[in-house]
Amino acid sequence: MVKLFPTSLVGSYAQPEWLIDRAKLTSRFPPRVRAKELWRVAPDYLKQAQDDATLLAIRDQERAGLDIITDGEMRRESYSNRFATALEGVDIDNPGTALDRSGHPNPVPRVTGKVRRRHPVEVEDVKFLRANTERMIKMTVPGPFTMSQQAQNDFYKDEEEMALDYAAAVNEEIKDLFAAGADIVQIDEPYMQARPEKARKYGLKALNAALDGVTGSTAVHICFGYAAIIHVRPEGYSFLPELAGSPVKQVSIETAQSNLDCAVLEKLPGKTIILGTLDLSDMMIEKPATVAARIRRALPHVPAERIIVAPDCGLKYLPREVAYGKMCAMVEGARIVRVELSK
Amino acid sequence: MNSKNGSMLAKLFPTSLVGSYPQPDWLIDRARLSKMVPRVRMGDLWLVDPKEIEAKQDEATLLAIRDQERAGLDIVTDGEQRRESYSNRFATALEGVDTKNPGATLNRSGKPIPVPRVTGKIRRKFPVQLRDLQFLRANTKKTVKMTVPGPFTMSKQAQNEFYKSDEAMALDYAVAVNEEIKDLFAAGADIVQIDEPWMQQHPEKAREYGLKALDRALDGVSGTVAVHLCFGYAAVVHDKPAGYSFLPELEGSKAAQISIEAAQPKLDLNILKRLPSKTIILGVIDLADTNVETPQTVAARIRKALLHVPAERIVIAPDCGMKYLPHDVAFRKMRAMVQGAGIVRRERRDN
Repeated sequence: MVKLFPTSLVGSYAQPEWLIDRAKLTSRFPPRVRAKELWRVAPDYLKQAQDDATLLAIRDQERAGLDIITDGEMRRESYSNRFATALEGVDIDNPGTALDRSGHPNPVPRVTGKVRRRHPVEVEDVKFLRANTERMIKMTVPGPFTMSQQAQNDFYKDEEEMALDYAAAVNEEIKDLFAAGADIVQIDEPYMQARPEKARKYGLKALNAALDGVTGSTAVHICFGYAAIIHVRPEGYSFLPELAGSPVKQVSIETAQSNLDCAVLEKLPGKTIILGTLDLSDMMIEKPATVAARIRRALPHVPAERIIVAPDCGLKYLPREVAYGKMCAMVEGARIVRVELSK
Repeated sequence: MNSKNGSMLAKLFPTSLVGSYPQPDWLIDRARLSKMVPRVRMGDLWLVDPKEIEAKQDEATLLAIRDQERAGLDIVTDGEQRRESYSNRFATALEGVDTKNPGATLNRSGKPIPVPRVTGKIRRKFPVQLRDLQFLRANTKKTVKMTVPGPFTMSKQAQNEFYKSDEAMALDYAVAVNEEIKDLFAAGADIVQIDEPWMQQHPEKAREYGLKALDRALDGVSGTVAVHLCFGYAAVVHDKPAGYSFLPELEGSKAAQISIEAAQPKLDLNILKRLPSKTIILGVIDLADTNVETPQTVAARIRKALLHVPAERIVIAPDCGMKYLPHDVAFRKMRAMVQGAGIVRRERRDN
């Protein structure tokens, strides 16, 4: 990319209050099975309402000046359940239980047969995004490891085998998304951070399987959980350098809220870093200078050409005015450092 | 100082909606909406909880604004997303009208429809569309236009049980509109448009007191004012004449811009010579046809007007409000309109 410090969301943007019950959405764990009761628009009109909300999310990103645009995940109850519940082999009507990263039990899809993608899940979404912006676009898909952790295995002999079938489904989806016009596809794997041992044991293998034969620009997002839900942050990642060996081109990490020691990024040579510079636990909008300082913090450890500026995580749970204000501050903060380096 | 006024935009052929833009299906029952243009309130048309209606109307308005911006329009309206019809939001908010026990009048198709019953002196109780304008102003940097229903049209869409004459009633409607217009300009409107479709429908009465009411509505107003006349919504009125029965009369009014439809009725544009001082908001999009015009078709319609109106006095627009069109058709028609205006603009520059 020619421009230094291009800006991008991680994935989600604030969903409008009229579309989804945001109070309910925030007061529960992210849904792993479906949570249709959250939508505030009648089923007959829901698709159009989600399209319209997507248009507004796109326009907000464009107006804020982002270089890479997502669909804001307006159609999703959570980043993962739209895809995870569309697969064959999972029973969502009689869910099982799995512990969330906070340690609380959460209803999850019960895997009762071979996991297989029946049909493209997000291809219409990416086509809609492609048709409605001229800028570079990114689409997010949940990662195979994370989906395997958000499921109850009642079929496979071990979780690794299950994760690899999830990976095959994600792999098909990713190829379809690129064919439909995605510039970047990001795999969301937050549970790699939450379950580092398992991630090392078979998560990376599943991630690599999901990327098998994929030629487009791929990213992987790893985080400490939504600021709205998970309140305590460690100072460092328990799983990150491991990604150096994966074929993924970009790694999305949070640094703002966790005050991450960016020295760890030296362990990801060759990767582009999607650098989290917005603290989503703080409803105060950052000053552009604060964002700039967070970018500068990474510069001793990552060449400027390999940095994309982003929030720490999805903006889903933020009030829209706050989310919009933070995006504007982020764009301005990136500009400040870009100008500095051009001198 | 006039750089933001419709006719005085530095750019030739600035583009604009007349007023309305399609409302989302999740907001309002569009199937019922297109069957009848309501004059009293029809609250049950809205598909959303009354507690959420303002938030949802805001959202639909944002969407309408962003669509216009993306299509490349120079002048942006709020798309009238909050209205059941162009006139009833304002008309039913006034003092002196009984909307709960409506009267009846013949609509322009000759069918009886419920209308506000005027039972006392017409007075504006409070600003009606002020928040609408503030919302529009806060959400776009483009030139903004706000529409208000005209006093003559409102007087024809009411049953008079109080005033000694329709003229006296129309003049009180004009006072209410006048107060509203001044508030809209004070709050940042660049253009205010008065919708007077019924002047075309009732040309004699329009000559008798409609113009007088219009001028009263403009009394002491210093901003750029437009007047829109038309033959009725394409979705509702199907047979349209080839000429206006009321138009040259507006040359004498204080309005700076006149919005007319020219695409659908294939209007003989010679008549525009009789509005020598006015900027013409030229309708170039046929709303009876859901086929999207090519930019070349739009350009040809603009060139036809150039024989009768200097380029500097033309604003490019659809024939009428886009309220009843499918959303995607409306968007593509706007884009064709912008591209068509671009073609003729380049021709002028290159010659």
